Amino acid sequence: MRLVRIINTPKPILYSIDYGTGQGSELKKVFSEWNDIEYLENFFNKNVFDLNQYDKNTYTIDKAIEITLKEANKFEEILHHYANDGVKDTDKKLQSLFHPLNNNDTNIYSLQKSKAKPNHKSWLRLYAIRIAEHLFVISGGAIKLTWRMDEREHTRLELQKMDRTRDYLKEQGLLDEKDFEYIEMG
Amino acid sequence: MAVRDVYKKIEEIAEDDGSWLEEARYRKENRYWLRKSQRIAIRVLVTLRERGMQQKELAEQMGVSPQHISKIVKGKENLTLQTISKLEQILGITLFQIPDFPKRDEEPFSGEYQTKERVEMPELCEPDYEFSEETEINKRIKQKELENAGIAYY
Repeated sequence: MRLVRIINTPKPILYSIDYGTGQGSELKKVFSEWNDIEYLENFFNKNVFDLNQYDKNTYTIDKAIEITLKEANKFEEILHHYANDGVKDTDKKLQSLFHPLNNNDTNIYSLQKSKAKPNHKSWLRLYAIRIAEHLFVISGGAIKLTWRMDEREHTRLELQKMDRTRDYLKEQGLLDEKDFEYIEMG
Repeated sequence: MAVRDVYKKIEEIAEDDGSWLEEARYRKENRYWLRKSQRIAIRVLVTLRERGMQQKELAEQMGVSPQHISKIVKGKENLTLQTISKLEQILGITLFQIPDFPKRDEEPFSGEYQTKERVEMPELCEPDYEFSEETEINKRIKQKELENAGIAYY
């Protein structure tokens, strides 16, 4: 397990975990899957029941693949732009991308589970652990078709990966003093 | 143990790995043809599933390796016309079509094709495959292609 740089100029803001599976960083793996037609066709066929329930719409498999490709491209464009040009106004940009995993969580704290999606209706998710202000580590990603993550095996796995990443970051001493004090105070 | 400068600390631990950025750049630079490859892959996979046909069978009929078919159905292969034509013939579907030129009594889209050769050798301009019926989408695409004199994919 290792930590790899994604965006670190002009300042460090985005990293990804590489679990050592041979598929590279989680960010690379996720975008590779979201651009792999065979993977997507298998996924939507396996989860066709959830697809039919999603957003009260009926999506055909080929339509679902088309939507995924379009949104994945959009998502990757945003990150690619940040990685190439740097994030000049981190306050607005990165903050608008990542949110607490739990929708009811109004506090922001160190080692908090977080998520990002290309638009509010999208089923694509990047999952990350927030280390400090504008500093995130991507732990994985998924196509989330159900309301809760623990309802399906592939999203349950993402919860486990977030736990594992959080433990690893804690072991590495990546706890922000400012945020840590905030937690201590409750 | 919390640290004072977590940004400095993470830079000490992290390693360089430009592979995602490299792939993202490749996808961006090749988006136009990759999009076509992906659409062909969708059509091939949906057809295989509908017919209960394995990729291995398709590979055998095409006389190519299963690895080649695997690349095609991932939507990452820069397909040749020969490969597209084989897929069309074996699966009995249309994946690629060159639009017909406008009829002579229609408003021409440009003067480029109003040549003597065009009139005398219409067979050169005929598509390889005809639609069994004129669907709405085909009509729309044909209209668009007549404007652009480009190539249509289905």
